[in-house]
Amino acid sequence: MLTNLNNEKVSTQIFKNFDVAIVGAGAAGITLTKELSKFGKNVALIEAGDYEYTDESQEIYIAKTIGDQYFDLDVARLRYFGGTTNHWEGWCRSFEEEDFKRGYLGEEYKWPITLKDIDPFKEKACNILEVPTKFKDSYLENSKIQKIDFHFSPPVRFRDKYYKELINNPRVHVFLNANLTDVQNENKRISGLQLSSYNGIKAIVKANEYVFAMGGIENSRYLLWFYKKYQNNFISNDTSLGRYWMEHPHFTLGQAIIDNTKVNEKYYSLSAEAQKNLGILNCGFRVIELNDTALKGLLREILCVAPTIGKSLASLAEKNLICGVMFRAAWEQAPHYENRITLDNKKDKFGIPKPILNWQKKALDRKTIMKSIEVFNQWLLEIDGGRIQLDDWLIKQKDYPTNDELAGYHHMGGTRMHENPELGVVDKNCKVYGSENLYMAGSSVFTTGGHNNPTLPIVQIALRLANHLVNKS
Amino acid sequence: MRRRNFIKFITFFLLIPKFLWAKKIKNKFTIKNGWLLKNEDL
Repeated sequence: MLTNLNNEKVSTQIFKNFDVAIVGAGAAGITLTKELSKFGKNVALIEAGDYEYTDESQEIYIAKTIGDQYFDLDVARLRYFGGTTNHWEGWCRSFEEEDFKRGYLGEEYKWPITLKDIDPFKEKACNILEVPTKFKDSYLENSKIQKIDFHFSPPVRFRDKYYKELINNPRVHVFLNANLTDVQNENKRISGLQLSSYNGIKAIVKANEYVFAMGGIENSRYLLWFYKKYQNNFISNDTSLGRYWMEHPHFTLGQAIIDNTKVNEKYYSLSAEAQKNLGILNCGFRVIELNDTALKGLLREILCVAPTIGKSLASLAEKNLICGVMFRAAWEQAPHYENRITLDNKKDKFGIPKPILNWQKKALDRKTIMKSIEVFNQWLLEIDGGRIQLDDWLIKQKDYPTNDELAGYHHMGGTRMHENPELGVVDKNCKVYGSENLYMAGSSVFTTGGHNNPTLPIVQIALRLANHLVNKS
Repeated sequence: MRRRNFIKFITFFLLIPKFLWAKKIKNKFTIKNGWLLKNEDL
């Protein structure tokens, strides 16, 4: 069933008797809806945008960022049915075992779950994203380096794949142009959601359970707003609320000449043991092949500064045994208390404060990349697999460049999962501390971010939440 | 006895430090124009 609130004539209709109301029709919201309806749940799926992109919806995402240079927030995400899956690139890889074992770095790094808790949902998540379920990682013997495998979704556009199926599903009621403006609540329970269209039509949706799946910034914004309005009526405290926000820094580190018989994979990372011994986080290296002209340029340079290896590489080039590559990295950012979403004095057209994102890369983020390069280079020299030329900002320890990729458009944390309500916002089942029926879905619940792209684990954790909601009743 | 002391001397003051030194150097690399190079590359 479909209700486009913009097309409704009557205001303040009440839609009730849903088992679950889900706010946000992105990867997490749609996955949850599909899964819950499959198990007989009646679901309201509430999307603030339309079926298509509209300026009036997207403008709600315009917001301020402070700290390190970051993308405009209305560019970094999409506000219509399907959410950011409407422009994602399809990179898939899940969390790794060590991502859940960072307790040695401090309490704030501790997940209340392990890889085993989300692994049972990997196969189904891979099927949804249309990628193979096996990832061929290989540990290199006597080395601190491992080869890692990514899969690429076509990429699946959740709107194109699931919209028709959902509006024709008798257990699902899709709402479009339905902006959440307030909640009705009593005794630590949400009892209804107040919605508004862009042309002022209002509606109320009532369900037994509620899930916010609005994205890595909006989940924090709404909870901050409701905490300001209702204090601890259904959110136990705001100590960590909006905090520990994370991204994946993405930067070009330099170029390299590599022996492609020895360095024959595109993606590498450090072994878990090496990360732990060095006290750093996860870092993924990406080796992207350059054209022959670029290789010739690199050979000319290395011949000038290091004739011995230069001549040797030039002779290998004649036999097509080496290539020039761009050397890039995407790495895990430390969950830091000061990286956070706060509420601005400016309000959106529905009277809800806009968010401000304060994002900065900290000392551990720098240490992670520097140590990881050192280990990767050590391995490369040991196997005589090539030579790296690092960019100036790394050699001279300058600030991060501002004309590079910067980050991955991956918004994580803010309503993080932790067993301590002072260090987290949701428990291991994604339920908000202080509430009996409000849950969070999406990458905002990540305790730490790993270095991999978040879509696959978002879908896994959404499937796990669906499983929890089905089994608890 | 003299011979044993001599061996100890050689081991502790010559061979072991040399081994450690070599190991340390092996872990190092030279940086030139941004290139991370082995010493023998130059």
